[in-house]
Amino acid sequence: MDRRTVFAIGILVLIFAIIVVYEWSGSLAGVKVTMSENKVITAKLLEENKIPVHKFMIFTIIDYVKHSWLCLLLAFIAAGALQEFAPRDKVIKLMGSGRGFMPYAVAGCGGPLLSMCSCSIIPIFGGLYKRGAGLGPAITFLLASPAFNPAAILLTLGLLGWKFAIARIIVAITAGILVGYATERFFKNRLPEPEPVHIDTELEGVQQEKQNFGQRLINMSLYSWEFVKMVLPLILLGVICAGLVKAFLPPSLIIKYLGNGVLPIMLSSAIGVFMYTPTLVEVPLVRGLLESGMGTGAAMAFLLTGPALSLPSILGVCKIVKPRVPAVYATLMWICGTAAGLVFWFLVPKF
Amino acid sequence: MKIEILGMGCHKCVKLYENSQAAVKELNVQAEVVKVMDIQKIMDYGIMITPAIAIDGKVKAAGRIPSPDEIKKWISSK
Repeated sequence: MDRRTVFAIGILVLIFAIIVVYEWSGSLAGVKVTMSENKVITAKLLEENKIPVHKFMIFTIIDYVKHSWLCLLLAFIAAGALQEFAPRDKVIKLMGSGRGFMPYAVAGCGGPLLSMCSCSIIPIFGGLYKRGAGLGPAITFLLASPAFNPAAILLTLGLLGWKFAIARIIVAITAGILVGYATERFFKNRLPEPEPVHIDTELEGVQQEKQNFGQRLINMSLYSWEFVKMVLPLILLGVICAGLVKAFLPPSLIIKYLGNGVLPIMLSSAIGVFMYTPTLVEVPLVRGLLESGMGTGAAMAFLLTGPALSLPSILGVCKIVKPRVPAVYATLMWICGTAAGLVFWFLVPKF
Repeated sequence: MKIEILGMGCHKCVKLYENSQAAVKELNVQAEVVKVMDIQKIMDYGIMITPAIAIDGKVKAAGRIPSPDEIKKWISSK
């Protein structure tokens, strides 16, 4: 067994053991009562009730796991199924197929069909751009696919509710398509045409043996398991961050800068543009912030720009296109994030 | 024989790298397994999705992680 497998199994066993021990010994009763009485947890509150931080963190983990385990299970199955059965070649062909709205639509929705691994997004972006799919669909793919990750959506459903989940999907695809199209129009005739890349067509098709359905199910399960190993540490990290935020960041600060209002939404959108959040970490983190007083509009803005952009991602893209391009689409995304936040705040004022 | 693993460093690429090393070891052939992490070089291969594996310059698979057995077949058929 490789190290990653041991690590993943270790985490699963640890979480399970902690849950069992603490629930069984009733030693979290005090934390539960405090939590149900007070929506907002402050460091002072924890001190007053003599709740040690580590107990509070454990409670947070259990709380979040309870809310999300079913959705996570679905997400893992979905990830395996997509990896094994999704028709990648057809999707890529559609994305590269010339003019019209089709490439944009496919680029916006095709994220989960192509890859669930965020590190392959930049090579796919590069491939789409160089292969002549056009800058627009490539950017749409780059921006929409991190947010349209099925695991992230399902986790959003579990931890933040269906309103956030549906809004996320709509906003990510819309913003992706708009920003991609606008950026391409902006740079029309102002950028050198990418030289066409030699494409090696002797690929899997030739070597692939026909696999029966049973084998493919096994492959799917193996992929799901790989996905679990990749994703569990990230979620744990997100929940720990959420716990830290809830325990140590004074809500007055959060309400002042990230609460309700136009400025907090703009700020939240801007933070999301630059801050690197590995996919899935943003969901528990946002929940922690919401529970501490973040406004729903600010949360929505962050859920759009956070996963879609980050400083490392922008730097990576700069190696493929001139820096002016990410400058433009980052600004446009910031505007879209603000707009999405404002609309969502209007429709859903409270968490 | 040169086996190149194309990818920008996520653990899928690592898994592919390990599978390739295992295949080479089991067949006991003279082959070097290298990681290509530079985005420009990766794009020059014309692949769309990483991770990808190329043997002596020819891309054999992209977007998935072939098992050591599959990699052994490719090595043997050269």
